Amino acid sequence: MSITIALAGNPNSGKTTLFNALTGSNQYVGNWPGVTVEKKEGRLKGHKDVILQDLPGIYSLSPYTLEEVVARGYLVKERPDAILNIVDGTNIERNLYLTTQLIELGIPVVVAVNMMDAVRKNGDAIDLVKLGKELGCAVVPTSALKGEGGMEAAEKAIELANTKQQGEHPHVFTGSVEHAIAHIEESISALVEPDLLRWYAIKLFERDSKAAEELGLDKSLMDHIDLHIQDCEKELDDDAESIITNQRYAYINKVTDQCVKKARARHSLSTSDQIDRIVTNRILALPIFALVMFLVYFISIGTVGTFLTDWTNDTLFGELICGNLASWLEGMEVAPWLNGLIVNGIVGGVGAVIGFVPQMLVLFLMLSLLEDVGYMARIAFIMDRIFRKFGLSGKSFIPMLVGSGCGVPGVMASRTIENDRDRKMTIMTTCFIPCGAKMPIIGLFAGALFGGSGLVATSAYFIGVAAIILSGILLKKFKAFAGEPAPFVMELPAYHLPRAVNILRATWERGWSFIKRAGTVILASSIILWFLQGFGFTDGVFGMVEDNNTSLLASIGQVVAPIFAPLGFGTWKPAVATFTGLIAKENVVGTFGVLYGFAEVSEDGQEIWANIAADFSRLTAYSFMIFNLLCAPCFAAMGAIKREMNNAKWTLTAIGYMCVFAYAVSLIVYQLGNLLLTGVFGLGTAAALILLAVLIFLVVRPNKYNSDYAKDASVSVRLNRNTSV
Amino acid sequence: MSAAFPMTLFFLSAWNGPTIVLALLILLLFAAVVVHLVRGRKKGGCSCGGGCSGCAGACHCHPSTKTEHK
Repeated sequence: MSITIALAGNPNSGKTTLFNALTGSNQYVGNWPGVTVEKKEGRLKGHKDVILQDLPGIYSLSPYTLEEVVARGYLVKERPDAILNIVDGTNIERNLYLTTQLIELGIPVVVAVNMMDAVRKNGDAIDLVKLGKELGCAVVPTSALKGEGGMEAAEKAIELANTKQQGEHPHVFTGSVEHAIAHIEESISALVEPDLLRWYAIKLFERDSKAAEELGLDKSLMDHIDLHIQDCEKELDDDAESIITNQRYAYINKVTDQCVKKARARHSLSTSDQIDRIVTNRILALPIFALVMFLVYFISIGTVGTFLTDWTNDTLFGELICGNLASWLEGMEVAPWLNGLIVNGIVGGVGAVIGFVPQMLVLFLMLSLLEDVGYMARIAFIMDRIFRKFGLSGKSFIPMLVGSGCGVPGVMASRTIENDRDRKMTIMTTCFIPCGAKMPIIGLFAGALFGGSGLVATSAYFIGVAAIILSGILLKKFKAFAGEPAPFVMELPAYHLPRAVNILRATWERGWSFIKRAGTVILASSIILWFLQGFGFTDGVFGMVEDNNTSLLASIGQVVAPIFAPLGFGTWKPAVATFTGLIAKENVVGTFGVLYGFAEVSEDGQEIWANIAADFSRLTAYSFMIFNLLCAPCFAAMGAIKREMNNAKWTLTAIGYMCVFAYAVSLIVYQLGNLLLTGVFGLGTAAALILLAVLIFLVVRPNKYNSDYAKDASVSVRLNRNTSV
Repeated sequence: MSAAFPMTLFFLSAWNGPTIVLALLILLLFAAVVVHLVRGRKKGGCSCGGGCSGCAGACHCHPSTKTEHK
C-alpha cells in the first residue's frame, strides 16, 4: 500500500529543490512566489510505494490566497500519511508559523530545517533536539542545495507514516483561548473526525468561514460557538483572529529564544538588506531598473549578440550553407524550382530565424542570470509602487516578468491573481511585454536600420512597460475593471551568487524551444510562403513567377495592405509578414527571409538587411516594430488567453483591445514622426492628433469608481528576511 | 530563378532522380512537421511549440491532480 508524504512550507524555503532531489523530476525553481500554484507529485527515489506531493509555497493555512486554498484543501481532505515541513533555517521565526498550524492537522509532521549550510555560514546555531521537544515533532537538518539530509528527512516521514506516530501537541495558546477551543471541540465533536477536531476548533475560533461551510454548521450552533469566542475577545480585548496570530508568534518567539542563537543582532541588516536599500530605494530603484534592462538588451542585441548573429548570418549561412548548398544542388541537376524552394524557401525562412539564435541565447542567459541572483523578484516590488498609483498591484507584474520569455506562461501565471477584474486586465496586457519570439523582429530592424543599436531593443521593452501602465490607467476607469488594487505582500529572497548549472540549464531549455519552433512551425510556414510567393498568374496563365510582386501572396497581401497604410507600411510584404506573425512572432523574420531573399547573400553579395532597408525608412521600421510588439499575440498565446478568460466575449475583447491599441500607438508614432520629419500635415496626421487627444483624455479623466489609490500604497509590504508576516 | 512557364511544363520539367528524392524528402518532412504539431495540440501540450521542463509556466500546463477551487 502506497504512502503519501506532502511537502509543505513557505515560498522559497527549498521545497521544490528538495522535491527534485528526492524524486529526480526536473521541476522549475524560481526566485519569486507564485511560480508553483498547482500541486506536483513524484515517486521517492528507491521507494516505489512512496509518493511525494509538492504543495504550493504558503505562509499559513488561512483561506485567503489560491495557493493557501489549494494546500489546505489537500491537507484537510486528502489527508497525506505524513507532512514533511520544509523550514528555512535562516528565517525560522516566520517559517514556524505554518509549522504550528500543520501540527494541529493531526497528521505526523517532520520538520526539515533547510538551508543549514547558510545557517552555519551566517554563524547561527539551532538546537534541533530542543526545537523538536518544544514543537513535539521530529526535526531534521537539511540542505537541499547541497543535497544533505533530504533522504533522511523523507525516511523519517515514512517511519512516522507507517507507525502513525504523532507527537504531543505543543501548548501554543494561553489558558482562556485553550478554554474556548475546548468548548468548541466539545460542540463539534460529533461532526468531525478526532484527528481534525483541534484543527477545526481553532479555525472556528478564528471565524474561518470556509471551515464553517465545510462542516455545515447550523445557525444555532454557530451562535453558541460565537458566545465562547466573544467571551475570549472581551477578556483579551482583541479580535479572535488577531488573538490566535499574536499568540502563535509569542509561542514561536519563546521557542526560538531557547533554540536559536543568531550571530547577528536581531534587527541588523544582512548583505541582501543592504543591497536592497539601494536597489529598491524609492528614488534609485527605477533608474537602476532602466539601466539593468538597457545593459541586458545592449549586450544581447547590441554588442555580443550582434557579433554572433552577424557571424551566423554572414559566414555560417551566407558563405558555408547557402553558397555550398546552391552549388551542390546545381551540380546534382536538381530542378530549378526545387533548388529555389530549398535555398530561398526553407533555408531562407528558417535560416533568417536561426540567425538570431545567438542573440536569443545571450538574452536568455542575461534574464536567467537576473532571475537566479534574485533581482527579478525585486522588479515586481519596484513596479508595485508605480502600479499602485494607477490602480494595479505588483502581483500583476509577475506574469509580465514571466512573459518576457514567452507570453503563454505569462498569461497562465495570471492565475495567481485572486481579484477577477485585475486578473482579466493582467491577461489583456501581459503580452505587451516583448517575448523571446518578438526579439528577432527587434534584432532585424535594429541591424537593418539602426546600426545594431541596443537602444532599439531597450526602447521596445519600455514601450511594452509603458503600454501596460497606460492600459492599466485607462482600463481602471471603466466599470468592468474598476476597483481597489489587491494588497501585495512579497518575500524578497536573499541575493546569492548565480549558479552556473541553473543559468545554463534555463538558457539552453529556452534556446532549444526557440530552435525547435524554427524547425517546425517556421519550416512549415516557409515552405507554404515560398510556394505562395513563387507562383502566380502571368498573362492569365498560372505558373512560377520571376518577380514575387506578381505572385499569389502579393495578390492576397495587396488586399489587406491598405489597412496598414496609415501606419507607414502599406505594402504587401510587411502586411503578409504581420499576419504570418500570428502563427509565431518570429515568423515575421522568417517571412522577410523568404520575401527579401535571405539566401541570396552569397549570390550578389547584397545582405537581406540592405534589401529591407530599401523598403523601410527608420520611421516606418519603428512603426512596424511597435505594431508587431503590441498587437495580437501568436495563436499559442491567444489560446492561453482563451483558456484563462474562459469566455468568448472576453477573449475577443482582449485580442481586440491589443490590436486597437497597437494600431493607435503605431499610427500616432508614424504620423507625428512624419510631421516632424517632413512637415507635411495630412489626413493621417489629423487622425493621429485626434487619437492622441482621445488617449490622453482616457488616461487623465477622473475615475468616478475609485478613490485615490495612492492612499493604499502603504498596503504594499516588503518582507525582508528578518521580518515576520 | 528561370523564366515564367505554365504549370504543365513545371510539372514535366527536370524530374530527374535527385529532384524526385529531394522533393519526396521535403514532402515527408512537411507532413511530419504538420502531424507533430497537430498531435502536440491534441495531446494538450504546450502550444508554444517549445519544451516544458524549463518553462516558468510548466506547472500551469501540467497539473498532477485536478482541484476544485471555491
